[in-house]
Amino acid sequence: MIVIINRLNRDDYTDLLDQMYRQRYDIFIKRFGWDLPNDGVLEIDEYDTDDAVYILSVDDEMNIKASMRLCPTMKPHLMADKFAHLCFKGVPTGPSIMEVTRFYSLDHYKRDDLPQHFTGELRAAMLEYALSEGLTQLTCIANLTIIPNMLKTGYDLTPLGLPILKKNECIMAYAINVTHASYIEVCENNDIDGPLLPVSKPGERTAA
Amino acid sequence: MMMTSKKLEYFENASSFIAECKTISSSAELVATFHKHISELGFCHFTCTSFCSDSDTPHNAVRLAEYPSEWIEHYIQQSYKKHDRILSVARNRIIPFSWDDPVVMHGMTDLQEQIFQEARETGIIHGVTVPVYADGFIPATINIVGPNRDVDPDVQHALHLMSIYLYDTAVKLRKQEPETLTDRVIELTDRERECLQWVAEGKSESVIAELMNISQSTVHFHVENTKRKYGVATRVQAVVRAFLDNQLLL
Repeated sequence: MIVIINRLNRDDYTDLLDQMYRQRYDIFIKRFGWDLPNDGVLEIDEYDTDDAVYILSVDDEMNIKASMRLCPTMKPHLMADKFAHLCFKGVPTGPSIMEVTRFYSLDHYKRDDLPQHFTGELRAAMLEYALSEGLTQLTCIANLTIIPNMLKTGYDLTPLGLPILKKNECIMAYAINVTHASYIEVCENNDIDGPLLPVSKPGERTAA
Repeated sequence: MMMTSKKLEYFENASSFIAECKTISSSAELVATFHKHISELGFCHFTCTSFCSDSDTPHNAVRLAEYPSEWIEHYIQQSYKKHDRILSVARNRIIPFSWDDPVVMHGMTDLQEQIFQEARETGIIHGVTVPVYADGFIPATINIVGPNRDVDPDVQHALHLMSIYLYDTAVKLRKQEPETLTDRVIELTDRERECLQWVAEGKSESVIAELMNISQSTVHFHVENTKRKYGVATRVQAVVRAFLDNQLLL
């Protein structure tokens, strides 16, 4: 199941947000060793503001299985503030462009061959949300090792610059082009057979 | 940070290849397009190969090449695959590496050094290898060969990026093969392809007969058919042609 958290409903989801911040600490700081602000339990940075939108894939017990954050590019965001050098022709910004950060999936850490249900759900939900909000691009910085998976799943990606080598990892900035065709392809490739977003309450999803 | 014009040029080249990938409709077109773009970066040959076990050739495995055919022929005849230094290094790497990197050059066996020397004599001198991994895909290596030892790191990054799209496009074209390749001039039967696959593994006709549980004369018949279809004189030439035609995995 997909849950969207934004400025209008975040007070209803404080438990889920807390769970997400804990998971981010475990994954990005403890597992990946990223140098991020934290209090030893939660990973929360300067972009976790009221402007941020979170898309979560949760199981029936409301355990988060996959998660991501969207930030408006008209305001300070990670790519513009810290990774602008990865964008050879400037950092894409605008009201129809949001930045994806902190994408993680607990599916990845399974050691069996079960389908990555929650990852697939989140991949499709991200495009569904973007289409519903009239977004044209989602920008992102990622390790190049995930790009083949992104392409395979059906995303239409435009690199924003050449990769660079950083601490023995190749990272790159790219834009995910938001199109109905790629949304259909992502759904087909992830066995998604219908809309995933919750039915919105008036004004709920449009305030970011 | 100042953007160098060279860096931007390499990026434009990679971006152009990526854009062209969206409209490519055949493996041959993909080979020609990739070759054109790596030529602009100073490289002359490449292979794009799925890691496969010797006798297992899954449908989504990929084999593309723009490589000196005399080297492919020699490589097959000598059964060099199992000794290939580049392949063994690539299996344990996730980021690209130069063939002049210490991880390649140190610890080579005498035979591996000999293979390198023989490759140099056919113009395969320096190279960059890009390993590509994706969930549900067979891992692959893209080898890109050129005359220059010292490759600009930004060129290597451009090759990395282009190689990811090369492989993705190759796999997607492979899935469409039944539709797009109906006009293929040379069509091998499954039996002919299987026989030729074993020939490529260096097996004799008597051994192939045992492996396929058919008579030696039937094996001979199938192999001769492939030679006839390709219009070549030797079994190895038939293997090379089938390899270049993406019908065979080595």
